[in-house]
Amino acid sequence: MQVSSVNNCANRPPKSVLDVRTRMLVCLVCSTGIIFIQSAAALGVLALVSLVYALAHGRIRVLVVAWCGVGVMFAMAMGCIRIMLIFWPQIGEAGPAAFFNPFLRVLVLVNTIFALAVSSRIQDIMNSLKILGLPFVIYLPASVMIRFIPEFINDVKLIRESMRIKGFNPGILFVTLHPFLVVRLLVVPLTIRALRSADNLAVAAELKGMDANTRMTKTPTPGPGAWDIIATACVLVLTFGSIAAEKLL
Amino acid sequence: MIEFDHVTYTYPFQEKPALADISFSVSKAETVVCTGGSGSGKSTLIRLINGLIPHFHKGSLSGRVRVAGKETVHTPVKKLSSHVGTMFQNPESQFFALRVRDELKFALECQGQSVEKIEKITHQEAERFGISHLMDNMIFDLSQGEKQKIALAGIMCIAPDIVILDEPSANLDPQATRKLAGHLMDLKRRGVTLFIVDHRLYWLKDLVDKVLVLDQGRLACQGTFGLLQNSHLRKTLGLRQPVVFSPNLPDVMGAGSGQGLTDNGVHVNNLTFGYKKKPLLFQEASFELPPGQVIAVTGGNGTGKTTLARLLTGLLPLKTGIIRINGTPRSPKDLLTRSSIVLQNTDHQLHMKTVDRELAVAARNNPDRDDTVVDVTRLFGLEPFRLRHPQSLSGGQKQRLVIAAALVKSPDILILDEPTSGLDGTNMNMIARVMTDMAQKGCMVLVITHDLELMNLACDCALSMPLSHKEKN
Repeated sequence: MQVSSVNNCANRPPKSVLDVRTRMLVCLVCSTGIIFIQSAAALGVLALVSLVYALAHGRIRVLVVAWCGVGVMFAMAMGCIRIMLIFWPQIGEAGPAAFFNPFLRVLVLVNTIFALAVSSRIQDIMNSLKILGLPFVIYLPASVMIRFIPEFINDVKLIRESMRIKGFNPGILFVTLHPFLVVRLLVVPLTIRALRSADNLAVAAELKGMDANTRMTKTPTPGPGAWDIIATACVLVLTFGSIAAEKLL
Repeated sequence: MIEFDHVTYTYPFQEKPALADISFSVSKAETVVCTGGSGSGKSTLIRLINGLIPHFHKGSLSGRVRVAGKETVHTPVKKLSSHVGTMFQNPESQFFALRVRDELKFALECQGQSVEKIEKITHQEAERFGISHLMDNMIFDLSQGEKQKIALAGIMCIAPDIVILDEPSANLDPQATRKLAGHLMDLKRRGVTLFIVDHRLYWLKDLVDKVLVLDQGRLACQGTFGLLQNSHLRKTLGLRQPVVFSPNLPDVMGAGSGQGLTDNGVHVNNLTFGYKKKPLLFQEASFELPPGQVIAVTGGNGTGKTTLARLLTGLLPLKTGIIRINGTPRSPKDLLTRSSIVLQNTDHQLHMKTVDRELAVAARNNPDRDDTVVDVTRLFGLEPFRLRHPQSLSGGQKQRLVIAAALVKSPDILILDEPTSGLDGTNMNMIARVMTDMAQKGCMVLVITHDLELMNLACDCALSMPLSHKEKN
């Protein structure tokens, strides 16, 4: 029952008009671009455009939760810096301004990955990996990693359920108060399950005659649509334009 | 087709051989069933046939194994894989794709076959196994029986001479098991050699030509299916029955002490529940479960058996409805403390470093914790493993441990989800005995099972799913 409900996410039709490969490219270009972009203005523009892109995919509640997560992460980082300053003042004052650019970079990443995650079926991502014609030794682990996302989520649910049966309440309070017990109760069985799944799949791969020399059949792929071309052009112009503008101005 | 000549194999870091002096042969298009108690070496035998031993699992091997005319020692697994297909007990663990069509194509794509050939073969096999209508479905949304068919069709796409099936009936209901037997019969007619490893034997009567019985790594005996009629042999080697009749259990409503006339037991009123974005599984269902009885919960996949178990133990909140135990309405939190549930996969339920610790943690709210743990450890034969890591135990031992951990809570409600799947006759008898003992002590034992033998042995009445109008108010 749990597995099927998890995999309903995979069954959900994509909400985006863009091909999954385009959405993967948007992620790749943005995540590479933000390494080179230094100015707050350029990062701000990119964050704003990526925000519009993310909002266009709906699921606003999930997006807000993701932003809150980023907010908490930065608040914790600032708190840690404050504590470090008490013991090690030489590192210098680091006010909120110092965190502004990294914060914008993370926002761009969150927005683009969010758009990819909520609008792609797992099977589409796997197909795209296949179409990209990557070597089998890269394609297989990458594809298996994605294939196991629903199973991993299901494992976490079942282990949490087992903890509840044994009388442990695996909420935030429990995790905070008993971190070592959580490792024993949740992380250890999860690791064992992951290892066992990996072992089973390795055996299945052997028995299907796959190895590093496997040459997969190339399947015919549909070309990019008009929206894919427009989106790719926009993201390239915006990212590389920002980098170029920074260098020139 | 398969030839074993005085084969002895010992796993790395083990002193005792897993298989000793095994000799037998299987001809083309012959169907063989290999059975035996837990730990008798059945899985090792499979690994020797498909070449995982010695190529994947190292260790010490003597004697000669020939499969499809090739010595497995000198033939890589990749080469053997075009002759031997293996279906795992849990087919899910061998799927590489999420959609049926992609899974069937996968092995052929890895062989570099042309797109046209791939289309033709997958279409052909899908037709043969009657799964054409499922081609665009997600694999995980399918029933166990359908998953088995997809795994088999996937194997047959590469047209092997030999198909090995590891516990194929373990997760199937009787109807799906019959259908599987039909598909295997079809493969047999197509000239495929079948090597089946299973504890459940009744469904193989008309299919198999030869029976191999393993006992502690040795080939105890081989012969026709009639060999299994020997009750002494079955008892000595811990085998299951070769003939099983469908149990005629009374309906739970009739087995109780009257509809709502007594406060004893568990009363469920106006239960409504459905998962998000799914149709309701239960709509205003009302029924009562009598105490002191072992109740079998039966029905096809997806009818809500496990969901009902989760609701009765408080793991899931009710949308509407009331659950009363001995007349008192209980909240989900209350239910969780008063009940124990053993879910299907034991790996998720074992957390601690040792068997002792696992039981102690499960019993920590029991006032008689120490005595109960000692009693249960003895009852389940877990004494020799007290200091072992639970995850290092065998499948049967783990199953015993999770049931023991459920028992040490001294629950009012004990729910077991497919407790005998993949277990031999000895372990099944022991679990049946434990269930009956618990019921006699006044506990309400609910067992979700497809195992006809277990139902015959231990169950007093049945709750059939989906809940019919009879159970609804």
